[in-house]
Order: sequence, then structure tokens, then C-alpha cells
Amino acid sequence: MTTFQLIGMSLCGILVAIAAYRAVRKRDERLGQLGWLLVFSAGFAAFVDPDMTRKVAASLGVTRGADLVSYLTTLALLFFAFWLQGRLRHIERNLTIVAREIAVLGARSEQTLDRTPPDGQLTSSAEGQSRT
Amino acid sequence: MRGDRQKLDSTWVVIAAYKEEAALGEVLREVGANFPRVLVVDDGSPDSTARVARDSGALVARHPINRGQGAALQTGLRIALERGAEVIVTFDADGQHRSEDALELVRRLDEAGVDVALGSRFLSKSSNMPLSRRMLLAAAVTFTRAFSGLRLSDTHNGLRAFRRSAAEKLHLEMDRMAHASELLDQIRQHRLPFVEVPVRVRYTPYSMAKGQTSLAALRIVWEYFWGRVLR
Repeated sequence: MTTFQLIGMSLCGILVAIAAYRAVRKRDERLGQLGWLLVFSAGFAAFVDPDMTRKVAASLGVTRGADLVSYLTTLALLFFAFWLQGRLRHIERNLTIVAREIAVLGARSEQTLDRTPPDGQLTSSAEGQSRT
Repeated sequence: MRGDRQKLDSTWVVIAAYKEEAALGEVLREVGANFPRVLVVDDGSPDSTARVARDSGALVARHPINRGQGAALQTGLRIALERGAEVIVTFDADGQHRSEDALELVRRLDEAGVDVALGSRFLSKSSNMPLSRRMLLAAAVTFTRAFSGLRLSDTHNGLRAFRRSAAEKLHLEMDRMAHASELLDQIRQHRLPFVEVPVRVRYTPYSMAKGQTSLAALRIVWEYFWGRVLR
């Protein structure tokens, strides 16, 4: 076993342990963590037995194990990019909602100040502000 | 005459502005001459856009950070509705629109008995639109026809008027420039009756610099695509 294999196995082993722990402890993340568990376990197995990827590739009709790994990595990256884009949009949308609420609240307080009668008591009028 | 006055009293002009301190004062003077109620949504400008708007007598709402024109317009629609607007006009902050065209849009809402009036540069007889802009907009029209199914002559014109009932149905989620296409999608989705009204746009070096480049148009298509896929 080479040093590279040992490092790869150790990293994948740690990631497998983390994913397994999160899958057990965090119910709402379970499905996603099981997915990661599968990916890291496959990585771990590939480091333990590099010839395994060749065997799997051959059974799928792909000539080289390296090609199979390359295809799977590309697919995983595409999926990850798509997922990340979705998350990013979700966060951006939430950010806009927060910015909007702040703007709306600010505009409401402008109305309150503008509608302050001379005696200092606020009115509850919903009528809009007039330009002067 | 009295009816017109009452109509304008319940009409809100919503202007989304980002870094428009140079042009906004003049725009607000022009709009204010015809419309008594103006709301400027300052989209997190780092300059004195909000102060210029406030000094001009407009109601100002301020995004703490820049979120894009679509987000600012949706904020403006919400505030205008809260203020009891019966008609809402959207108007650009860079001085390219004319206040009298906005008045015409409001008038055509009643005359045509529709919920939405959309300004069109291509229905106007006189236009100083540069050829490059004309070609870009023609591509946008083709794109919108393909995706929204609406047959319009101008799809990315910021001058529009909505009745309250229509504005209440609009929920723009595309924060940046793709909101113009999203808005047309929603007009079609809610089957809102609309009319196109000829308007003239002033193409000045300032407004051209603020306008969309071909590269920006591609970004709009990209944003629109993802907005639809990841709805």
C-alpha cells in the first residue's frame, strides 16, 4: 500500500465517519448525509483496492477505471453546481426579503413622522404622503 | 377634471434608483409636476441618491444593500399598495422616460378598460434609438414571444402602469433585470388585460451608459433561465 493510498483512505475514512454521525444525529439532513456516506464509502473502497474501479468500469462497458472515475466526478460536479446554484438563489431570495422588510419598515416610519399632528399625537390615517 | 385630479391623488409613481444622484433630482422635478405621489426605492446606493430623493419631496424607501431593480420595484409595489394606491406607475430613474407619457399610460388604463398599460418605444413614430439598442431590443422581443407567448412590440420598457388589482397579483422574484420578462410571464399567467401605449425614450449619453449592454443581455437570459428552473 502506497503513502498516497494511506492518506486517501484516512481522509475518506474521516469523511465517512462524519457523514455517518450526521446521518444518525440530524434527522432533517439524513437523506443528504446518506448520499455523502455513499460517495465517501466508494472513495474509501477505491483507495483500499484500486483495481476495483477497473473491474466496475469493465462491468459497465467503460474501458478504464480512471475513465469511470472521471465520468463520475464530472457528473458529481455538475450536480453539485446545480445544487449550489439552488442554494445560492434561496439565500439571495431570503436576503431580498430581509432588505425589503427593512425598507418597508423605514417607509412606514417616514409616514408616521410625516403625519405627526401639531400637538405631537400620531394619527392612524392610512392615507399616503403628499409631495409639497 | 376633478376626476382626473382624484385619479392622480391615488396614483403612485414608483422609481427604483441605484446610484442616480446625478439624474434623479431633475427626474423628480418632472414627475412631481404631474404626479403628487412619488416613491423612490433607493436600492442601497452608496451615493446621495436617497438624500436627493428626500430633498425633492418624494417618499423614500431604502434597501440596506443593493438587491437589483426587480427587487426594488417589488418593494415599491408593496409600499404603494400599503399606501392605498389605486394605480401604480413604474418609471426609470435615469431620465429616459417622459412624465407626459406616464400620464398617457394612466389615461389609457381607463380608456381601454385594461389592468396594465405597457410603454412601447417601437409604437412611437419618432425615436432617436441607436441601431445597436434597437437590435438588442428586437432580440428581447423575440425571446419574450418564445417564452412568455405574449405578442408585444417592446418587452423591456420600464414605463408601465398597473391598476391596484393587477399590482396585487404581481410577485417579482427575479431580483435583477430579468424581472421585466418575469413580469410579462405573470401578466400572461394571471390573464391580465393589457394595452401597449406608444412612448418616447430619451437616449442621452447618461441613459445609454446606464442601459443594458449585449453582455448584460446575456446575463439577463442566464438569470431568467435559472429563475424559471429553480423557482
